[in-house]
Amino acid sequence: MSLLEIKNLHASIEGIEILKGLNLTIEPGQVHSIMGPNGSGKSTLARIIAGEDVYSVTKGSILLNGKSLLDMDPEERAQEGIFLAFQYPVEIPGVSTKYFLRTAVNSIRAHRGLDELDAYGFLKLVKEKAAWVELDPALLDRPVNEGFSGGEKKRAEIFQMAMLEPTMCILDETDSGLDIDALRIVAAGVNQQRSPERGFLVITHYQRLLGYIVPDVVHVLLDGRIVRTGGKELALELEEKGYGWIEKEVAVGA
Amino acid sequence: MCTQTIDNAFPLCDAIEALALQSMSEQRHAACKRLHELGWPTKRNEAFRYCTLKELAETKWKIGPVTTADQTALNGLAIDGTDVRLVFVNGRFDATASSPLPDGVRLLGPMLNETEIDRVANFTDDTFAQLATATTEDGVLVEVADNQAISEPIHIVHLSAPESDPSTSTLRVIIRLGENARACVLETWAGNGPCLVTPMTEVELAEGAHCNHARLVEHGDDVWHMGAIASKQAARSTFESVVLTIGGKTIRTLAHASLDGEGAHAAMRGFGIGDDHRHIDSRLRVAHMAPNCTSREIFKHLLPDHSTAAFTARIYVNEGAHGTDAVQTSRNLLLSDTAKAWSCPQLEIYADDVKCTHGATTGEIDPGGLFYLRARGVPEDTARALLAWAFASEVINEVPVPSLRTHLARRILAQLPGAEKLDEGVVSL
Repeated sequence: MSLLEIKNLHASIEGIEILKGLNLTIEPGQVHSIMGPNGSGKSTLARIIAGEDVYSVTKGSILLNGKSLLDMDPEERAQEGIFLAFQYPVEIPGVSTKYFLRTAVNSIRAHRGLDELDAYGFLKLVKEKAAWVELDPALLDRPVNEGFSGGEKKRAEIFQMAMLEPTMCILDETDSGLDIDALRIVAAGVNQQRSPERGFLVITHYQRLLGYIVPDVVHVLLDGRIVRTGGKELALELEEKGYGWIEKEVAVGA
Repeated sequence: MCTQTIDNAFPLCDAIEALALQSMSEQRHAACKRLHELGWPTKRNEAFRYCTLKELAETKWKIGPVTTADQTALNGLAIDGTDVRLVFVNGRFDATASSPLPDGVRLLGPMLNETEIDRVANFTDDTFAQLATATTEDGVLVEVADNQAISEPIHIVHLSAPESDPSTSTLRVIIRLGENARACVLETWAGNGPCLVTPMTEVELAEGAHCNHARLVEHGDDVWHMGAIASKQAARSTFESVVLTIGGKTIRTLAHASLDGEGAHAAMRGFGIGDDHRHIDSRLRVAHMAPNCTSREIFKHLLPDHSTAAFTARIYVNEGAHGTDAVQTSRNLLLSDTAKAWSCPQLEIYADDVKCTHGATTGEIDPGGLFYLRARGVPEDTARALLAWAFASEVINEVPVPSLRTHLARRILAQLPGAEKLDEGVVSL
């Protein structure tokens, strides 16, 4: 069974169709990347998989390990193994990152039939996983994402991913706003989490990130559809030539 | 005057007049007279336009009976690590339930010395402030000499305990700090109704004095709480005040701060949680009378059900009060379609070179924050409770005394909509 299977997905927001029949299948252990120009629907896809209800799915299906996600609330999807690393992580003043994360970890553990982590077990896990992205654990006493630098926010997202141990990880432009060092650290944190069971969907504008997180499959998303699929060399070709040539080819083919 | 006569409240009027006669106090007589002139306010009175006082005006109030504190009610109100507690029931001191008085703290009453009261408070047009002066039985005077400090928070608990009739009570708290003196006072207003309580606190700070004051309102839901706080500050003094409302029917707080000396600082904070038809009304006035004073006002309300909140605040900058720096913020989070909030910031400025800003927002739980939490596996009801706590904590976290902060945070948490989804660990910041 495939890990993630999206078939003929149509979705719109405020009556405007954004996704127009998208198909995508990810097998366990694979890293897929979706590239595409601004407005092609990349972030929409990520947020629809995670369950943001501002979008309406008008047609199609999304299955995770054979289970339909579309009828699930966002928290249920997370409990089933979806993780979305946000492009713009939300600041939540007054709630410490640790408290929030302990709540999240234990909600997910409860769903998986595991006991709640006690304070000791939780802190041990925090220490281990924070090291993966070189995140200062002291930062976790601060309110969620508040006062974090751009790089800290993105590292915190990958750290949370490590804490929640999802099966399907979606990275929405995790590279945006990162300098080269931060990019390297974030990528290392992601690579640490690659496993034969886990799948990744890496959404990005630039090939640069894919030099660190090497994908098995690269897709080009254009106007709500995947118009081209290839290996990691497709990303290099896009970097060199831009999206214009694909747009032209698609227009000719249509 | 847009008023309803107070004479329809015969038992109360008779009792007030008896008190006035008994005390031979000029002030009490004057307040009594003024009370009759003012009557019960109606909605047509601008200062009460958001309050619905019809039921209050139609009630036959009596002065609260002499009784003692209910020990079970008291137990739940204690602040961890604070031994000093003064208990008042229906406006009268309960010695048995109270701790010994620390140095610098005196009791006033039963008949207040009139040179002590209304030195700072000047609410001549406010029915409830007049009612407070006319009916005061006991009071507390916290007086700290120059360069001295009362290190422990002084906890003043007022319980309303009516017998069969609806009753009124009041308590006068006077805080008077000498030069560079320090004190911290927490008032807890609790107990059941039907009651009308009129708390009155007066704060007088000499140069460089530092006062922390908190008022925690946790009455039962049939209590009208019509309170006032008046403060007067000399140069470089600091007044940190917070009013937290987690109980009561209609809770109105009139707070007037006068920054009389150069470089004085006043912080006035408020946080309230609505419930059912509760109405929380805050009317503030900060007067910058001298140069280079700073003031911060932040009032926030979390409003479920049919609850309502009104915030009316004026910053007054006197001629010559240059270098004034005043910030005023009002934020409301509506948790239902039937909750309502009004914000009315006002500036009155007669000086140049001043910085006065105000901001007011009223909204719902942020869908972006909600999605973020849920996308991490946090169930929706827990996520909503977390965001409600996030909203509350901003005010709580600014309370400068740690033991007080923890106490207030716990009390708030206990009343927060959805709090059963959270545990005490959330109070860690």
